[in-house]
Amino acid sequence: MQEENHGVWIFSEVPKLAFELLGKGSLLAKALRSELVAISIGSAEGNEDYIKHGADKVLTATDPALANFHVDTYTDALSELASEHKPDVILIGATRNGLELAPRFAERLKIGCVTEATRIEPDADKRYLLMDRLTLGGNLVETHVSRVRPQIATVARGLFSALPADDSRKGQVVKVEPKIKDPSTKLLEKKPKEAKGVGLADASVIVSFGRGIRKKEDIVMVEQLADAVGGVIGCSRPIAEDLHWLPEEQYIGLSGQKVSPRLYFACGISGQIQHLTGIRNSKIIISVNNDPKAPIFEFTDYGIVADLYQILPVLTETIKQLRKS
Amino acid sequence: MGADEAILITDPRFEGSDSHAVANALAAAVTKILDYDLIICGAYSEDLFAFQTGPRLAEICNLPQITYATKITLDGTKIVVERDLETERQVVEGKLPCLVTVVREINEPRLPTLMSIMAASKKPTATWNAADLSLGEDELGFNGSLIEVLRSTVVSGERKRIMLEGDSKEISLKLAKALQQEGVLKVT
Repeated sequence: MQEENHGVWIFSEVPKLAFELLGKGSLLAKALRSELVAISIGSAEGNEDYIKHGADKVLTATDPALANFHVDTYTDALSELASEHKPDVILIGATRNGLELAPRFAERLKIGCVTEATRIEPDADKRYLLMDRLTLGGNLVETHVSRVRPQIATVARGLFSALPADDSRKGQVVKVEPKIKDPSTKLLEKKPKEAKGVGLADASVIVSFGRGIRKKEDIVMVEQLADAVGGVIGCSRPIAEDLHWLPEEQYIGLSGQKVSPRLYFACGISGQIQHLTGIRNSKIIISVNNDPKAPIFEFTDYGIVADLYQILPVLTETIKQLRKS
Repeated sequence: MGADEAILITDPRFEGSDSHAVANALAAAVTKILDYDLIICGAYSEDLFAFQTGPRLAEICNLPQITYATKITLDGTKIVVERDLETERQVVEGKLPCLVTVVREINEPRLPTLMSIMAASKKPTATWNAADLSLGEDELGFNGSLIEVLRSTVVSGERKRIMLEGDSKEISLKLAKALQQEGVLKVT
């Protein structure tokens, strides 16, 4: 029953993403005349930051067993809190941790979950949420509605904007002690990935390439364009995962980096959903492909049907000249 | 490809299933099989990218889940799995039975040899429908789903989709001009 459920909750183990969820959550809470609650699991540090970024309340679970993310313990904690407090909406950050937590938790409560929603808005009567997500090659937007409460969606990094921190905001921090079972699996070892990638997530200009580049040596052509426009290079998944021409950290897509530059060049990239999901938040997308039917052109602001090998050097030279003059 | 036995789970009544209903049907099949040590699922499908079936199935079957596996090693009744996360790689140990979801890096599928293709036709296969799995009407397909797809719309109009034509030089000039006007390319 919807009357029983109240409140917009957000959770992410990554603070920056949690703040973005609060940004979206505050709009939803206002529309639904509801309170905005941040779920803080693991550490009591930073609870005030949730309030500064828009939370009315923070539920904080600081059991030492929750110090690091584990899908078992975090599912226990979140399930107990949600069963007890019955929120109406829960937004969960779509990190790899969040993406395995959300369905496990949802199944325990027998509720739905919309993966990586791209739009979340109340319906006209504000009775339920309309949650959009991209499917089938990025060609379809499906609008989903949850039949049960709470209504849950996971949300990718960079999709919504965080509110600026407001030091004058006041809120309530409530300690909670959900019951947690011992985790069923044990972490033996972890090693950070080599950070060879050039901060794609924060880049403002990205020149990216795909299978249209025929040899590894030809990447230089892409690098030259990147230099001319003051950008960094990225690639599609096959370039990193199958050909290993660039490190994995430099591929852009659903399972790779998600980017939001002001300028994105897609050179010889066909435009699979993998890739499109990673570049949705770009301000301007320019695509070059020799196939006029390539799906990337549907997701393009300025499209060029041409042979990469002819157009890229000319484009690089033209932009260089213009920027010099 | 290497399986000793195959079971196809199919029924027109599965139409309209969400991740929960799919996991429910798989859980019913797993329960019917009973004798298993390890369940391997893809971390996501290439068309829907929902990332949900594995964890939901693990929850229904009350199994530990180990996600995003790039390598799986059996060690007696234990399993050691290498996992791929955004910023780190992990090695995780679990006890069997267990559910593991795998990412593409796990393996290059082998090419079946002529011998294995011939041998495959002699391996046992079965087809199970909703009745075989004792699934009721409210447990499967559209009725058994928690999420409803209200509508699907073709993506369009979100981008300008301006096609630039001409020879390389003309196209380059047009693009450079457009980018200046958009304010995304600074010319000093």
